[in-house]
Amino acid sequence: MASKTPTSVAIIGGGFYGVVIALYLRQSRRMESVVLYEMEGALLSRASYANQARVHGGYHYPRSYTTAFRSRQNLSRFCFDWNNCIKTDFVKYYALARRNSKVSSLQFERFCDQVGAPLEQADDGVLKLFNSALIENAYRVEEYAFDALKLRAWANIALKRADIKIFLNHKVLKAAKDQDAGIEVISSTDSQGIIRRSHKYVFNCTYSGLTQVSRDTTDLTLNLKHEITELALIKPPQELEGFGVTVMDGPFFSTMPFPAKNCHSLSHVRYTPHSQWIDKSDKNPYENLRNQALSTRVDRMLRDSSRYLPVLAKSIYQESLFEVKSVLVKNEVDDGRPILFSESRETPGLFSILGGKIDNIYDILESIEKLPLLGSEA
Amino acid sequence: MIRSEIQAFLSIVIAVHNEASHLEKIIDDIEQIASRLVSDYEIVIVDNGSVDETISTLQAFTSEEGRANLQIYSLAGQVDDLTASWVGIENSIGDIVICLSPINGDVEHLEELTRKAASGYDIVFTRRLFPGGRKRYLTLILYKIFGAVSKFSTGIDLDSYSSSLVAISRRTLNYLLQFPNPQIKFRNLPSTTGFSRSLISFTGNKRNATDINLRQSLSRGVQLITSSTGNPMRVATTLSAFGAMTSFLYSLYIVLIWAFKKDIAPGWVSLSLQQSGMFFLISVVLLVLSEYVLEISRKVNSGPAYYISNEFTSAKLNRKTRLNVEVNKLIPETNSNSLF
Repeated sequence: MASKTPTSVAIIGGGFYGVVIALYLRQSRRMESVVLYEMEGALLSRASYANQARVHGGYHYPRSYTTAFRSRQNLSRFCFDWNNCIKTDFVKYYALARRNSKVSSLQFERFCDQVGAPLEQADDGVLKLFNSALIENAYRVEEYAFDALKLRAWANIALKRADIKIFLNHKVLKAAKDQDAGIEVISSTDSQGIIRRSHKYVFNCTYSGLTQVSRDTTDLTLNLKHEITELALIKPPQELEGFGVTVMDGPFFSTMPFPAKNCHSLSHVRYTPHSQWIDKSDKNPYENLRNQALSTRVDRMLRDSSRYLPVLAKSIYQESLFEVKSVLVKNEVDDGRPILFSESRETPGLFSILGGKIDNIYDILESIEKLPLLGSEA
Repeated sequence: MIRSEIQAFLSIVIAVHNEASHLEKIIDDIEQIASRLVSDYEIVIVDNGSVDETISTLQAFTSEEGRANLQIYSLAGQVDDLTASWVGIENSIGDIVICLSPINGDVEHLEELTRKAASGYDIVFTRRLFPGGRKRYLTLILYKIFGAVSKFSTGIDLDSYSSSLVAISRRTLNYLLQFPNPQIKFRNLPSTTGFSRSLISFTGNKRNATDINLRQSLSRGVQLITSSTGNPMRVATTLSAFGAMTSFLYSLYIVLIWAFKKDIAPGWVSLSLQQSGMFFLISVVLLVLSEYVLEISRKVNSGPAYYISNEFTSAKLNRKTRLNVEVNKLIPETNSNSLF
């Protein structure tokens, strides 16, 4: 089946980025029509859902000043724009490990001061929860969690209101130049088979699947590394209810509320990544995830984490979310998460977008704002 | 999946130094035993300042195509074996932590040790017996002397167990972590009495045994004694006290001689008084100083004021058997002291 609707913009990927970019193009840039392709049966069901749900406050990146500074700026905007989807009724602590940490508590204090991130010495009652032989100090910080389910509900309503067509269960196989000046998006569905549509512009927001959609061999910036990650969901012990704890800065752990399931998430730098590989266009990351027999490592996570925070041993394991996480290869060292925004050379009008964190959306929108082409469209 | 025999998480700690060529076999051997014996395990390898390919080999092992359940720590500079092992022990996450040195042929005792530890012992010591004798005579004599001294001063029989092959429970590990120098306390494990302990003896192979040089073992021994007991220092303070007292008595004796004896060589009295006086002063100064040193070393080496290693509660509690019923006063009490 083939159709040639003169749709002006297509967004591939109905994650948080895809949804917001679609809304931005429709509402702020007044694009005539915007459609959204999503391979799953619901919006925001992959990486936008299965992650720590952390709305970064900058604290996480003491070795990447730019990322930290932007995070700080974006936090207040994000909290304002999505205040209904954010959980703020918990207290977040950042603790610094005595050994093996890449930053000392003094460096951390100085860093937060420079970035303008509020920091407060944790009180004695909280410090007592930590093993003082392994933890140098702990701070109360300003950091929140988002509720992916509330974001999904918001996305459904907002897209409907903006009259954006959503193609759920559409797996995009390819996006490439067609005979005319447009870009042909070929998608496959279970019910309707292969569907071809042409669009003027295409925004590829598929995160891990970026190179699956556009096999642009000339684009060297699309150098991805994938990782299968395990996010363990636990019922925290009573002492940690209403608390989030992240131990910095090295092979440590983080536990914080996971609002979508009303529990806590637990991730450990050492045990969360299960396997990793360098992106190849002939190796579909999602299929790779599906084909792997993964068994949880929550036992190890809890064992090591409870060395630092003994009460954590009393948590009750619920389930694990396995998801593919993708980063640009060059950013592995400094832990920074800059965004990728690049136009395909082979197919002009096809843009690839890779974001690291949910609140980095503003950086992406700023980059799109600078595109002159789109303005002439309307 | 076959249910493994022992439901426990086992950590096996190995400190290696320039052993790139043996690593593969070591890991193979341990893997083979551990994977069938326990439900989960990790092999913690501490690279103690190797200068050969040990680090790169270990790094290759941790890759996706490499070996499972490895945890590698590479030290910035070489430290003594015991400290290196301690790094691994401190960072391990198992219920049972077994520290072994593969070049001594310890791997063959892994299973026995694990079974023993899993059967409920907090500490399982091992003792190697060398039927043909292991050391040269001079060294042997020195070791015996040192052993006797340490047994006298600290009450620990050092020769009775091997520090390189031992299994401890997480509870014991948590206890050790309370001390400012846990690695010394670890060497000093026999002095911890609150934990259930067991001892395994086996015949050591002389060929396999590593030779620790005399200087190294001497410094380790001295460190162990000074950090675990104040007894030798107490001998020193007693001697100073004794010296001060005798010097004082001697001065009195000189004064008596001067008072009652007629023919004394000129100058003898003042010279002797000066000497005994000085000795008295020096001994008093030493006594005071060593008391302070003792106090300092006590503070430096002290762990927590106490650590509860175990607690037991009576299965029978009286209050549970006592009925919550008001006894009618008309019924005479059976247990009264009255004879009638």
